[in-house]
Amino acid sequence: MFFILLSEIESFPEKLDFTLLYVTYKPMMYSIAMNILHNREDAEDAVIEAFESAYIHERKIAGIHDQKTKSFLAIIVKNKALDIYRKNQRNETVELPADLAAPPDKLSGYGELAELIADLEQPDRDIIKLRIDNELKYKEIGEMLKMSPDAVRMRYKRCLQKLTDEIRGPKDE
Amino acid sequence: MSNYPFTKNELRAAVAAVRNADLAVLPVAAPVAAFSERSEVRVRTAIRKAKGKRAFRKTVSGIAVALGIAILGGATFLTVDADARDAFKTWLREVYENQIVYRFTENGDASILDRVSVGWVPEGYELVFTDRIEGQSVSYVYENKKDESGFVLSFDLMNDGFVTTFSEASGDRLSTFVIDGKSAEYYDDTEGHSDNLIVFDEPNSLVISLDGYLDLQVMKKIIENISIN
Repeated sequence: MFFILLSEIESFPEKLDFTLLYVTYKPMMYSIAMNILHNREDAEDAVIEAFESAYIHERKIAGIHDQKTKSFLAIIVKNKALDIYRKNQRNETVELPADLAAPPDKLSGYGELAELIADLEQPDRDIIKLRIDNELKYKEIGEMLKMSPDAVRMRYKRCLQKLTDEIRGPKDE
Repeated sequence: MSNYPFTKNELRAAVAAVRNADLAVLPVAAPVAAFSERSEVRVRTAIRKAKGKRAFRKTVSGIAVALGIAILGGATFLTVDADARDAFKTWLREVYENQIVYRFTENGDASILDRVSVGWVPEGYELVFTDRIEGQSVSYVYENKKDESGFVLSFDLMNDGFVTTFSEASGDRLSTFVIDGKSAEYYDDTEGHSDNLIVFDEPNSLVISLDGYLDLQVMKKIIENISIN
C-alpha cells in the first residue's frame, strides 16, 4: 500500500478546473454536436456525456488551454454525437457531415507525413490523434470509439504500416 | 519506432499539425444559451464528482506521508525478516473509480525482453506486428487471416513506478488463479469486448498480458508455452 500511495502523489496532475473547462469548451462542443444532430436536446446530451467521459480520463487532459485538450474534447463530443445519431436512426453506417470528415487542406509545409495522416479515413485519424497526441491506451480509445481494444490496436498498427508503405513507395520487383 | 521511416518525434509533430488543421475547420462556435435545467444538473454532478475525486486524492496523499514515516521506521525490521519482506508483492492492483490500476515496485532486466520466446499460438494465427518500447515492453500482434480475429501478447517489465491501467467494463468478471506457479488475473468480459489475462512473472519482474477473444484454456496454453532463454 505504501508504494501505491507514493506513486499516487507523483502521478497526480495539477488541479484541473472542470468548471473552467466546461465554460471554455461548451460552445465549441455544442456546435460540433449540433452540426451532427440538429437537435438541441440531443446536442446537450452529447456535450454532457463528453464531459463525463473527459472527467473519467482527467489524467489525459494536458491543460485547459492546450490545443491537445481542445482536440481531445472535439473528438469525444463528435463520437458521442454520432452514438446518439446512430441510436436515433438505428443505423450503424453513419456518415460524418462533410466538413468534419474531410481531411484538412491547410497542411502544406508540414511535410509528407502530416499530409498522409490527414488523408487517413475516420476513425483512423482519430485513433492516431488519441494515441499519439493524447497518449490514450487502446482500451480507452476503444471505449470512446465503441471498438474493442484489439480492433483499435490493429487499426493503429495498420495505419502506421500504411504510412510506412506510402513513404517508402512501391517495392521494386 | 525503429521499424518505421519516421521517428516518434516526427510522428508527434505531424499528428500535432493534423490536429491543429482539424481544429481550424471545426464549425464556428456560436454563443450558447444556458442548457436545460436537466443538463445543467448533470454537468454540476460531473464537476462535483471531479472535485470529490481530488479531495480523496488529497486525503490519500496525507495518509501516504504518514505511512512513509511508519515504513521508514520499520526499515530495519524489513531487512532482517525475510517473511515480512516476502509479504510485499512486486505488483499491486487497485480499483480506482472505474479503472483497474496495476503498479509495480521492481526494476526488471530489460534484456529479458529479447529472451522471451512464444512457443505456441492457436492454429491459423500468425505474427503480423511487433511493437517494442526499448527498456519497457514488447508486444506481439497475432492475426487470423481467415476471420480477421486477433490477439495481442505483451511483455512489460515491472519497473518501479510503472503503472498500467485499463478501464473495467461493468460486465467484467475477475478471477484469480496460478499458471506455472505464477499469479494470474483473468478479466472475463460479458459485454462483447475482449478478455484479458494478466500473468505476473515475479522472479523475472515481468508482467505478461493477453488481450483477445480467445478461450481461457487457449490463453493458458499460450502462457504455458512461453519460455525465457
